[in-house]
Amino acid sequence: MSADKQVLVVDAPNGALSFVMEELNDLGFRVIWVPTLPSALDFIEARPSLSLIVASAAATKVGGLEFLARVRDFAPDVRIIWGVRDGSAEPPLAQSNAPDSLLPEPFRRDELRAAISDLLAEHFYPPAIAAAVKSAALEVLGVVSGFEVEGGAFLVANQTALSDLSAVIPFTGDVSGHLMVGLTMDDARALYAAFLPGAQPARIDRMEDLVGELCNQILGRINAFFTERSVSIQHATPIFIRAAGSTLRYPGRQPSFAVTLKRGEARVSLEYYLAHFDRAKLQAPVTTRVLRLGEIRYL
Amino acid sequence: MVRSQLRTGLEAKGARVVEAENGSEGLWRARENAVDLVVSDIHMPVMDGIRMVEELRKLPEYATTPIFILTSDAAAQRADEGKKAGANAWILKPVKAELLWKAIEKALFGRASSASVGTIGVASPAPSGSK
Repeated sequence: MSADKQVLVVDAPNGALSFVMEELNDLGFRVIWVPTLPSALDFIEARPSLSLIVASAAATKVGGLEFLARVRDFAPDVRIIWGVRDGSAEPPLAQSNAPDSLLPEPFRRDELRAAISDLLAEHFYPPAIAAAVKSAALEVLGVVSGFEVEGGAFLVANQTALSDLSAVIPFTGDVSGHLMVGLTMDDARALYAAFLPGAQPARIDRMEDLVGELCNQILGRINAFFTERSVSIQHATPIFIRAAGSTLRYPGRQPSFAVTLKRGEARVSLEYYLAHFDRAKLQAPVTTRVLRLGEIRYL
Repeated sequence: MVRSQLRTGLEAKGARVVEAENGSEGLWRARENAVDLVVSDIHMPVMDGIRMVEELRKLPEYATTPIFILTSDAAAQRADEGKKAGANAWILKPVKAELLWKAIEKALFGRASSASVGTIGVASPAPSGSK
């Protein structure tokens, strides 16, 4: 799906953006590097379907304003992340052709991910899916009050470092993929105590049960979003993984969509991965009734 | 609601709770115990909850026993499958304990004059290897 999404990285030779290129490549973009703004313009004029430009301050000291104006003329839909160092790149801020995101250099991985997710998430997931994942997690974890989404939602490369306790539930049907929920052991204990106040300290299998059940319930709420649009989906039972520090790699090039929820010091990590879906179906109107949270339907 | 949470809540109300980790075990436990009400998930290994309800309804002693499906599956169509199998209620998780308890009381006290809570069978998946 993302093989045709191209990102142009403008950076001086031996510049600092090599990790940016790796990051973008991991997210499934085809990454093209050019060393100067003139060479970037040549490329853009040949391929105006570009998705994103990431430009480093080292390569944009001269001619930045003119470059931005020409890009906006020629490829108005392309998104631009512009690196800034102290005292540089102030002029574009006030212009109508300003970059979409100004990031201080050296780029920080989390800030870059946030900017890319903000600008390009819709290339991978319709925004409604991001909203559905976040609201599902908040609805389910809201049973114990005080949870909030930490730092929005991010696209992450198709591999992830596992927590102490992780549960993965695959799903199939008109859409396929998986949801993974992960917690550290300490956070699982804290959460177990919140769900079962006054209970004995939890055994490991009971904490796994909790992580699996959270995964099951959150996926159930996300699936309700699809069901409302008559998208058929079936989910399996949880697979449990205790392999902190190990890496789980996903097949395919589609990034997953990560959300972290926090309650005090405790954090619950979610990764939602869609291997395949029909974008048109997701934009269809709501036609099918689903049960409300906590609803009891007598049969 | 995790199974341990459900068990703790029901025992606090005076119920005796019989647990099972999948539909097949639930069927076996139901045969071994006189269960007054069944609460079951549907997404379970070995035998899912819908099939377990179908099998339970074939047993004369469970022809009228209240059976609740407690699930994260919100599709109204799936609830219809539960009805066809013989379930009495489809409850969407997470559900507040008090709301669930009221439904259990309504089901139990509607079919028996006794104020005792009785035995409740709970079928819900668990991590492999745990009991």
